[in-house]
Amino acid sequence: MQEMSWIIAALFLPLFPLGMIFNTLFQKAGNAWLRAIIILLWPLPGIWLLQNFAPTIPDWVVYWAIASSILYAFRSVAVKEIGIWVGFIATSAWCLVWIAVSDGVTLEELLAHVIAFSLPLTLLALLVGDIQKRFDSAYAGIVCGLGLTHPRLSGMFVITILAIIASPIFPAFFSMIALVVQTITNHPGIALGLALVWLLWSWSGMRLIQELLVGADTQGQSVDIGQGAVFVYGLFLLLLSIGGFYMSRIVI
Amino acid sequence: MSLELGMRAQIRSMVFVAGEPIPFFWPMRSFIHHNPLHGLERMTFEDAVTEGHKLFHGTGYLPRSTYQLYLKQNRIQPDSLSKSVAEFLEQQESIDEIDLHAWLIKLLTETSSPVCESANTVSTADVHALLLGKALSGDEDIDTDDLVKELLDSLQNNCPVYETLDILFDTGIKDELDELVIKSCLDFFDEGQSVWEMPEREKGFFSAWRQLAMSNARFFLRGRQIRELLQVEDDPESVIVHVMEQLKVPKERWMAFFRRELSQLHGWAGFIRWRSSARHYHQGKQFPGDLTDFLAIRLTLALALIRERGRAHIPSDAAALEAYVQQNPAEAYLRQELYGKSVLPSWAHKVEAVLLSGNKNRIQKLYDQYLLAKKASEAKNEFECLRKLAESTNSDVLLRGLDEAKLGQLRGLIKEFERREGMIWLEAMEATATSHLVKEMNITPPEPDGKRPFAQALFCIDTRSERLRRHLEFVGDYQTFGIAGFFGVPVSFMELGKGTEAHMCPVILTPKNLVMEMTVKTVQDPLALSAIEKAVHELKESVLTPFVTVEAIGLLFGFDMFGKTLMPRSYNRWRSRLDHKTHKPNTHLLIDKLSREQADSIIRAVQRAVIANAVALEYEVLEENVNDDLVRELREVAMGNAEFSTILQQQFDLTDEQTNAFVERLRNVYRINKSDARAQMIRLGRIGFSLDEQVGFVSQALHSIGLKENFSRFVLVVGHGSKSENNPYESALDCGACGGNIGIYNARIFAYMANRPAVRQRLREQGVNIPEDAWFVPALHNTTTDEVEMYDLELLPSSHPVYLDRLYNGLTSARRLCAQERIPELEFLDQSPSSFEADKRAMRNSMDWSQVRPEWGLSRNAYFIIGRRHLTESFSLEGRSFLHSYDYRVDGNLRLLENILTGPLVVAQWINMEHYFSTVDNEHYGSGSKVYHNVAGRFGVMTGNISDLRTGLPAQTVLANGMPYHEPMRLIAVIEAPIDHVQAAIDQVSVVRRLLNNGWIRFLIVDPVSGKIHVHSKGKWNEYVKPVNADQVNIEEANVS
Repeated sequence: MQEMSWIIAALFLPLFPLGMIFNTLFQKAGNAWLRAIIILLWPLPGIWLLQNFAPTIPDWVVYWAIASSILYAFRSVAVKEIGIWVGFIATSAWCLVWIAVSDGVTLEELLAHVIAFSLPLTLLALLVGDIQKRFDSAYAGIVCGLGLTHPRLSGMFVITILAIIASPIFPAFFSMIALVVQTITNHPGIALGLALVWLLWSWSGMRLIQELLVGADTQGQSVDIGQGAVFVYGLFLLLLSIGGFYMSRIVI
Repeated sequence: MSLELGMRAQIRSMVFVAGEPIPFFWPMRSFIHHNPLHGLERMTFEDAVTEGHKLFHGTGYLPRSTYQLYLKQNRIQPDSLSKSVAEFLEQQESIDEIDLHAWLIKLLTETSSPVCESANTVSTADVHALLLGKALSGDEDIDTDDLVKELLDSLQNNCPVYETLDILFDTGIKDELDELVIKSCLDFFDEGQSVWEMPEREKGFFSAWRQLAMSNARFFLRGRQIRELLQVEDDPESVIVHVMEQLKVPKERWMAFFRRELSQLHGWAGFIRWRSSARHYHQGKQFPGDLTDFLAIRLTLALALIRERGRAHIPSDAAALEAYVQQNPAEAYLRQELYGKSVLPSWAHKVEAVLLSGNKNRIQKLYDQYLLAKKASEAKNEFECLRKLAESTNSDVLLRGLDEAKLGQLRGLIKEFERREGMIWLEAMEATATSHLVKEMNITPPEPDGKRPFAQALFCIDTRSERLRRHLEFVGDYQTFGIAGFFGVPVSFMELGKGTEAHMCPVILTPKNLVMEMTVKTVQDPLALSAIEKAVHELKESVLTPFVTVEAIGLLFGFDMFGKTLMPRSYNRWRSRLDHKTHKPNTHLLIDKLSREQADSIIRAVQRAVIANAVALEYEVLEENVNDDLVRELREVAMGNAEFSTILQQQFDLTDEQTNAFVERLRNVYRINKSDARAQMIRLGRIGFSLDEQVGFVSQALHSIGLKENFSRFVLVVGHGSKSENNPYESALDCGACGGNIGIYNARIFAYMANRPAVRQRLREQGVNIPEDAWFVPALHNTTTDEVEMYDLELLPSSHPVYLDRLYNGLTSARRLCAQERIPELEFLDQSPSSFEADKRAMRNSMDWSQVRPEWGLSRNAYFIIGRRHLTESFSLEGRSFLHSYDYRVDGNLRLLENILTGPLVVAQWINMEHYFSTVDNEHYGSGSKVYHNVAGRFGVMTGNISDLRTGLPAQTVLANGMPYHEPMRLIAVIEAPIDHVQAAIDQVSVVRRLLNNGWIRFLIVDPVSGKIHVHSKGKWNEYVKPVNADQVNIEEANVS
């Protein structure tokens, strides 16, 4: 049981094809807060299992993890429903934790990686709720032109996407840097895979920004998010960026 | 296999006709304001707006919310709106006890979005059911055949095949096709921006492109069968026929299909259309290309892309598409909803997932569910809007009491009203503007005092002259006149140092006469700084050197950038001292017609100079060793007047053959022969104006503005132009009457003619008595700064310089007052700065390279007033009116008024419509934000690095903070003359008659004889009664005499 515990962990730090279970459940959860909580909590049992049972993980799992991550990142490029996109990016990001695990990092470092990837996704899940509330959907391309009509929501959306796709100063950036540095000498193939994942995230994130924010507004009138919401989201993002610097000390 | 001549001609004529609605696009360096719907002016304004929407996807009116704002700001007065609604209702049946007038007013003024706009699937029964609180009916009333028919109608409504594919299969062909076509156009039409030229351009657009495309590796690698397609045919007409046959488009739809294709990139199509029709355009003659070439290239690329996508088992021709829709109506409908972006947002993902699954049963099931949901959503929206309207007019009980038939009638009425809503708002807005003007206008002329003004000034009719004229009249004893800025002298002008002619007149005229600018100074060696500048420029433009240049001299550009940005005024002043180009020497214009003897003498002189140079060059001797006898003899031999050159033979010890060979070279290479001499004579014959012509032009101009007597000592002839930095649209701010060029050359030509004693003598015989001490001084009004710079002052009579100081002072004061009036509008200041401070700011605007809006230009233009100055002298028109001086008393035969209507009025209407459409839909009819513009090929601008050529005006010219600054209205033309006089003149000018009858222009006649005002409305002239009080607006239609 102990030796097989990593397979159960692979459900919570989802490797392909187990990621399908997470994504199906995530899509079924319609409520934004519920989605945010799922993103925060889902990977934790995986971490717990890996730490407490310390299973021997076959070497090929790392390659499987990076392949899974690339697969879900690639899948995210074609997705226009932002809620679903969050699920795919979460799956892709959590796969990368296996690379850290293979290097025998501490619990603190593992948690740091997971939080770095999950927190901005949590925020985006809430923002998706805001978008859905206004437009009945968060399908980029059908909902469009937010840049002009909803500047506050758009601003928060852009910064959150930047945090998710591991742009500098946000924690995910330092996580990615740490993983690349960790693998580049002994497993250059994995490092290359990480770079590809990073590229795919950026590509898909920019596509969403382009389709959601640019273009003519076709949805009629709805109200932008309030200044209070901007303050809360902004504070969250500020803390996230400060946390990024703190995290750089832990993981790098 | 090439087509027969008849078929080729047919294709060409089809393309020609299909391209007619596409407006011309002139190169940016001589920006011509034009009506983007000029090709549709044969229709009424309202119909043309609808057609324009179909062709160019542009909207013709402002959004309802903006008109509502105008209503709040009193720019539209409630009375006028109420009258317009009442008029609409006069043509409709009443519905029970519903107060339709109140409903429609509420709809206009308090509802933000249209009520019946999106309801495609909703029936009256559905809305009625909701009104009664019942459930909606199912989808049993939907007939599959109807669905197929509707789908086919909407998908194949003259749509290119790829457009249908994009809507059904999200193939993205249109975007890719546009990009490929634009790149091809950029390659071919480039006018010196590219470092590497497209090869073989002289063969024509299609041939040059075909040559390149046949060997384009990228096409080959992407699997596009361009080569195969182009190998089948080699001329554009055959290619068009081949592609249309391959796409299986029925021949009766070709014309509409072509029109749709050409309108996809209407900026490029408009440029090509203009270019192929501009006979004087050098680039067009050198590298020919027309719409047939353009269409052939577009269709070839489209077919290649369709076939490439067709490999993914999607239909690849019109027939296959039709079959697909007939066999899979549900799937086609869902695809159209999703990829046409009209799907209900909450269903988008579900629809996408089911379509991707490809399962027919799931698709059919989803289709049934979706249709119900869509119907419910649209019915609910409409019901809510109706309910709110009813509540706001306290008629909700009445609404619920309507039976289905009456409800249907109400829906139909609202739908029709919303279709006409734009016109209703527009007419109300125009009625308000007319009322404001009429209220201020002074119809009674003052008694003439006979006093001689200190100076008179002839300004262009341009709206920007109005402010300067007003202030000049205010600061001193000045009398001003308005006249089209080419001063009635159509001329082709060749500027010093340029080898091409520019037409200095409205584009609707073709000048016969050529004027050349010459200097008496010898050609100077370029200064060292210029050489450095040239070297830097070449380094920047080369392919590889920029990498090194940035490292080496990038810092220098940094200094330049800081200077231009932080201290634009002082830095530019300092730089201009270094730059020799800004110091143009004093020049003379060749204005007088050459006699035959003079022309012959010029040709002889040129030929002698060429022969002397040829001898010196060919026999490597110094020019001083080539004597006149030799040159004279060689010329006679080369021209065929003598047999043999013995002097040449003896001087250089040549054989007979060598001597004859040199003479042949003179004939063929150096063009010393009879036919070339004849051609040169013809060209020289175009230079200048004969005395008769000069008298005619001056007389006509002075008569047309009513200036026949009481001439001042100074008569300023003020052309205008704009000066700004880093502004591709600079010429849009120049003089439209001078073909988008600055007006100083026409002013100089006119002043020269009017100062010529022989001309004055002849004018005296016509009753125009210009005293000897009256001097016409050409001047340039810089509309960015309102500075007036006088030219040719060295020609001033010795009696005049003593008065110049007073003239300068008057012009400076007027300039500062103008700036004080303009700057708060330009910089959105609440308080007006001092005139000195405002003047400084205006100067800075003209030199600041980061300034996207150096001036407002012709924005807010609304009126065109043809009449004497007293009409509007007493109040400010805020720079909103074209002012053309006209005195009907000197125009007995209507010729002057007809000329004003034909030229200036038509140009003003183009300017007005350009501003109108650029404001109401800046994205489609305007050119979007300047910030993203890039110059394309040195003749246009694009948004970003690839886009259609942006026609129309940029957002910064007509919008302020995203809201209209220009108030979009049709031009309100006012003519001060007896009504019979004006009607007769309009009847003679067919183009104006058409504009009037089709509602492209509003007309008011101020009859000074009867003291009445007449307005043209709904096809007839009605009397307009002046409002009694300031807040009241008369709707002209209500005042039928």
